[in-house]
Order: sequence, then structure tokens, then C-alpha cells
Amino acid sequence: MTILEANLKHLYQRIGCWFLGLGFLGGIAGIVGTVLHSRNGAFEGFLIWMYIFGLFTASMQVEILTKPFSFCLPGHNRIPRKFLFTVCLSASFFISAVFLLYPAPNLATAALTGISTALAGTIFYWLGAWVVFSFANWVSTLAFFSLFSFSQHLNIPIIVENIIVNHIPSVIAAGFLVNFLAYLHWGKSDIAKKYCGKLRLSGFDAWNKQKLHAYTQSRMAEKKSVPEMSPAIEAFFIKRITNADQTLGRYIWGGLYTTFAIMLSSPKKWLVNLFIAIPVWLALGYLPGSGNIIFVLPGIMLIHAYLPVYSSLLIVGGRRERFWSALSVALADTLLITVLVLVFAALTIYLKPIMPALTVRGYTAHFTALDIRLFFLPMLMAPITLAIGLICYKNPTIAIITVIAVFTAIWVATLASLGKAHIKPMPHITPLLITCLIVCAWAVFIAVSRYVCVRRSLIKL
Amino acid sequence: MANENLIVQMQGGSKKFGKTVAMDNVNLDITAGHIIGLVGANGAGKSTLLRHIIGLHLADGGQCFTFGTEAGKLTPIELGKIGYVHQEGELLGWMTVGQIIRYVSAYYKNWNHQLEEKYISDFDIQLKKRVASLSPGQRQQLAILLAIGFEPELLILDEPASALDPLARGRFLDLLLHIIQNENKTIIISSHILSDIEKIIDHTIIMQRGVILRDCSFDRLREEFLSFTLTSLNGKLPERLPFENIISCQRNDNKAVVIVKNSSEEQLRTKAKNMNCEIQIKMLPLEDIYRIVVS
Repeated sequence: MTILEANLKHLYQRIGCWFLGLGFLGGIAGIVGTVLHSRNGAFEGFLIWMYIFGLFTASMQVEILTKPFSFCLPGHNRIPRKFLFTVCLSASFFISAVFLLYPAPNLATAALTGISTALAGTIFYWLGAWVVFSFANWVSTLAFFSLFSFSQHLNIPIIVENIIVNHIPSVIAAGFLVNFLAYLHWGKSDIAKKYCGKLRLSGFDAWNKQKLHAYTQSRMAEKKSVPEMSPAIEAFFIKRITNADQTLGRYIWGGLYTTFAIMLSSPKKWLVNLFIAIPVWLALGYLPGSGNIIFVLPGIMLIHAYLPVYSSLLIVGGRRERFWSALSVALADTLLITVLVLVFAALTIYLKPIMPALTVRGYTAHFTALDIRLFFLPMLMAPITLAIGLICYKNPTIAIITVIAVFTAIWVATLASLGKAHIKPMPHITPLLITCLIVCAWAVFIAVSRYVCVRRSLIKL
Repeated sequence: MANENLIVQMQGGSKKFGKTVAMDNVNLDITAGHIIGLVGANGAGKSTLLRHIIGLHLADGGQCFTFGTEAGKLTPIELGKIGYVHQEGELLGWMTVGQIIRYVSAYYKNWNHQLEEKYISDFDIQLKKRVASLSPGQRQQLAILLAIGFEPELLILDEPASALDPLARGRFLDLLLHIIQNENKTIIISSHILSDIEKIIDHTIIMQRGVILRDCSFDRLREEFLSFTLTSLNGKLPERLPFENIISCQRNDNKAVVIVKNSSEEQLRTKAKNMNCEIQIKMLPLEDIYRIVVS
């Protein structure tokens, strides 16, 4: 068996690849269906498919390259290029064969359209592969795919189709050029040395908690990734922990210290983040209804919040102390995100009269203020998210998937129960109902955290 | 062990993780003033046992009392007497070494700043380094400092020296001997480096598959197994050696290296004399004793 064959075997030997393969097959079915029904989006869908395919196949190669044993395999430094090219060209030309069905005046034009599409696909494949080889935390770039949901508004599918079908020579030339550059780039002699022993996350490492932990630690070790704690903030909290003596207050202050000290120490970083976030939210204001995601996202992102329950560092805090510390941190987290989204919502209300209408390719968008009546969502979602985080504490990825699944299920169930009324759901949601829901959500959190603190093992690793 | 000064008492402690039995009907009494070596292979249940003592795990069956309180209900008063070094050395990676020392010390009124300074100087700990950037050995040194800084009555060390270099291990063992000079202190140390811990322990607990195989003083354990070299002074050794409870025997015609159980030195010397043989008796190292006990 050649090294290339051994590498290709990963595509079917890994259980994760089976699930991934199902996803990719679903994508191909979608592309074929779109072409057969002459709908827009097949070309754009194919390029996105190739990009994601590039991400995952390249990540498998990076995973092998980082393993020290592979450095000693004779001739292994030439395998990534062979593997990537084999997979890229096979997938690209195989799937783009479906574009032969694209309406064309003659067979030659149809064939050229197919070739143009395949080479455009390889460009996106190599882009994905380059992202994986260049960025240690490339998985986070998948978040940008949410932006594709707006592509219809911007006519992106039609633009892509126009370029591939009407500018065939340019696309083919660009495809050859990119493939040539990729051939040179992945043929560099130092490729094995560059990645050997490096800590890199692959697409399958979301389930590898030890690797995730090691990666988090290595990120923390870089001073630029986590800001320094301010001595004044440290002194403030340490004084309160010391003065609280043997009371519960000591553990509550301790929990708040470990959760908020860094945030409070780096106001500049938060201001910069706000300046980045504000234009994004303003842009969302031009897509009616989309901006309201701000009321939902912080509640989901709390899955990353640290609750001082599973810790073997400070065993001086007993189970009771851990419960109260976790509860106080959860309340503080919720208060913080609620205030933040309220400020954002209020800001959009004040901005609405002065924000101009935008016209892009004949589509005019008007700025819409956030629906401030939804301010209760963080208070409702935060306790549920934090409770799931406590239950699924061993693996953050499973916790995130669970949170998204739970909220999706609640959302679908709500829509189903409202029936046609969901078009204007707000009149059904009275302050009393909101209060009851929030109380119930917090009751769930208290019950879960109490159960965890009193009855469960408190070891995380 | 005698029952006075009992600080840990476990009766019928059992714990399962899925289908894996981590502790099976464990009975254990620990009195103050000892250095106890907890020995066993990976997965023997050592860490699980230690975590039950401080209430991080709760037993599925049986009971565990630490300082007279049920382990799952320990309050800061009892927990404030316990120092614990976790084998993975869980620390807050984003803090600097100095910050984490100040943070942990804030919880203890009796934090010994002199001891802290001495330890920092002896182990050359860099206070301004970020915890996440420490090597595994430096991280373990820091975890040890955080566990001993308040001079706990019970110090639980779960694989504390696995990442330390030989020099640091030597200094660490000296430190433990210094701590135990105070007769009220108790140390439970779990380690795979048996040659290290046998220098300091006075009591041994050997575990295998969640069961305690031996729980006795180290001296008694060492007396239980003896190794001797028997050399015939005239002619061949007899085909069958007249010793009882032989565990292993490697021999040729006039020399034999034998390990026996439950025989006193005096008995062995008398028998050797009767056989007209020269005998050299030595005590077995803990590693060999462990191998015999678990086999």
C-alpha cells in the first residue's frame, strides 16, 4: 500500500468521515436538484461545497502532518500535495459533470461550462485548504457561513452564475493559475518540518476534550490573546475575598473575580470589540427581523461561561459554597448580557430616524430598529444554557449542540403551538407570561445546579 | 492503625463509573501523623479514593468521614485543613503565578508567607509568568505550593511528582519530610515513582482494581517479604530448599536467590546455618513488594 492510499483510507475509515460524507452527499443532492429544476444558486452552492470540502480534507492532512511519527515516514512531505490534488480534482470534475445539463446552445459550450465550473470549484477548494494550513483555529471561520444567508438579498447566486457561465476563458485561466500556485505552495520541501508537533485543531477535534484543553491553555499562554489583569481590579476582589472571612460572600466574590476580572481589566479591548460589533448590528438592521438575533446569541454564547462548580483548585469551598458561587456568577452573567442587549436595542431606536435607506442592485433596504420587547430573551435563555453547560460539562461541543438543539426545539414547538398566530406572536406574550417563563427557567437552573453541587462528582477532567 | 486521632474513615466505600468498578467495598482508617503511600497501577482506583476523601466524588455505596464529617458535606472549616494536589494540576491558566498565589492565599487565614517565599526561592518559581505558559513540571511545583502554603493538617498528593525533574523531586521529598516533622500533619501520597516514596512513607496502601490489597505499616510490609542469597559452602544445594512460603527462587547448583514471605531473619539464618550455607538477607524495595502483592 502506498502512503497516498493509506491517507485516502482515512476518508472512509473514520466514523466522523461517514457523518461528514452524508452531509457532503446531501450537498451534492441539493446542487443536482437545483440544476435539474433550473433554479438559482447551484453554482454558488457548488463553490461553497468545494470550500467546505477543502477545509475538511486539508484538516485531515494537517492532523497527520502534526503527528511526529509522520515526519519520519519516507517521502511523506510530498503526500499532502498528492492527496489534496487527487481529492480536489476528482471531486470537482465529478460533481461539476452535473453542470453539463445547464442550458447551453451546443455540447461544446456545455462542456466548457462544466470545465469552467470545475476549475472555479478548485479555486474555492484551495482557498479552504489554504485557510486550514494557515490558521490554527480555522474551525471558527465556519461562523462566517451565516453571512451566506444574506447572499440572496445581494444577488450573489446570479453574480456567481454570470461569472462562471459568461466569462469562461477568464475563469478557466484563473483556475489553472490557482492550481499551479497550489502545486508550488504544497510542494515546498519544509512542509513536514513546519507542522510537525504543532498543536492544531482539526475538524474532528471538537470531540477531543484533551486537545481542546491543551489548545485553550496554549492560547492563554500567549499574552496577546488574553489581556493582563489590572492590579487595581485584582486588589479590589482579593480584598473582598479576604474580608468576607468564612462567610458565603467569600466564595461569591471568588466566583465573580475569576469570571469578570479579565473583562473589567481590559476596557480598551471591550471598546474595540464594541466598535467592531456595532457596524455588524447596524448592517443587520437593514435586513428586517435579522437584527433581533442579538437577543438570542448572547444567551447561547453563555455556554462558554465559567461556573465555579467543577474545580479541584480551590477545594476549600464545599458543595454548598460552590452552588451559591455558581448562582451568583450566573445572575451576574445574565444581568450583564441583558443590559448590553438593552443598550444595543435602545441605540437602534435612536438611530432609526437618522439611518438612510440603502439601495443595492435595485433592492432598497430601510433600517429597522431592534424589537426592544424581546429584551427578556437573555434572561430566559441564560439559565437554560448555563444548566445545559453544567450537565454537559465534559465536552463543550456537545454542550453547544445541545443548547442549539434545545432552543430550536422550543422555537419550533412555540411556532407550532401558535399556528397562524405566529405571524404576530407578540400580542400573545404578556408580561405575566414572560415573568412566569423567566421564573421557570431560573427554577430549572437552580434545580440543576443544586443537583450537580450536592449529588454529582465535581471533577471536570 | 490505632483508632486515636482518626482523620479519615471509610466503610464499604464503592464507586462505579459506568461498568468500571473504581472502588469496591473499601474500608480505610487514617490516623494523624503518618505519611501514607498509596500505590497501584493506572486505573487501580487511587485517585477515586483520594477524591472521595475530600468529597469531590460521592460514593455509590458505603460511607466516608473526613475530620468526623461526611465527605460530601464537608464545610470550609474541614476543607480548610486539607491540601490537595490534583494529578492534572488544574489551575487558572490566564492568571500569572503571582496572581494565582495571591488568589488562593486569600482564602486561608493561616497562609504561611515565609514558607511561600522559601518555596518560591528553592524551586525558582517565576511569579510574572502566566500559568498557562508553565511547563508541566513548573505547573506541578505551583500546585504543590498552593496545597502546602496554608500548612494543612491533611495533605493529599495525587501523582505530585510525575512531571518533576530528579532534582526537583529530591527537593520535594525533603519538603515533605520537613512538613511531617510536625506530628499532627498527615500526608497521603499516590505515586508511580515507588523508589521515591519509599524513602519517606511509613504506611502503605496497595490497591488493585478498586480493592485495597494491603493496608499496613511500611515496616511490617517490608518485613513480610525478604530476599536472600544462599551460597553453599560445601557442594551442591539440596534439590528442595527447606524454606517455607517461597515466592520465587532462581538458582544453580550452589547458589540461590530466594524471596520468601512471612519468615523472620532469624529463622532464615538458622536454616542456612543448618544447611552449612552462607546467607545474605536484604529487604525488598517497594517496587518488588508491589509486584509480588499484585501478582
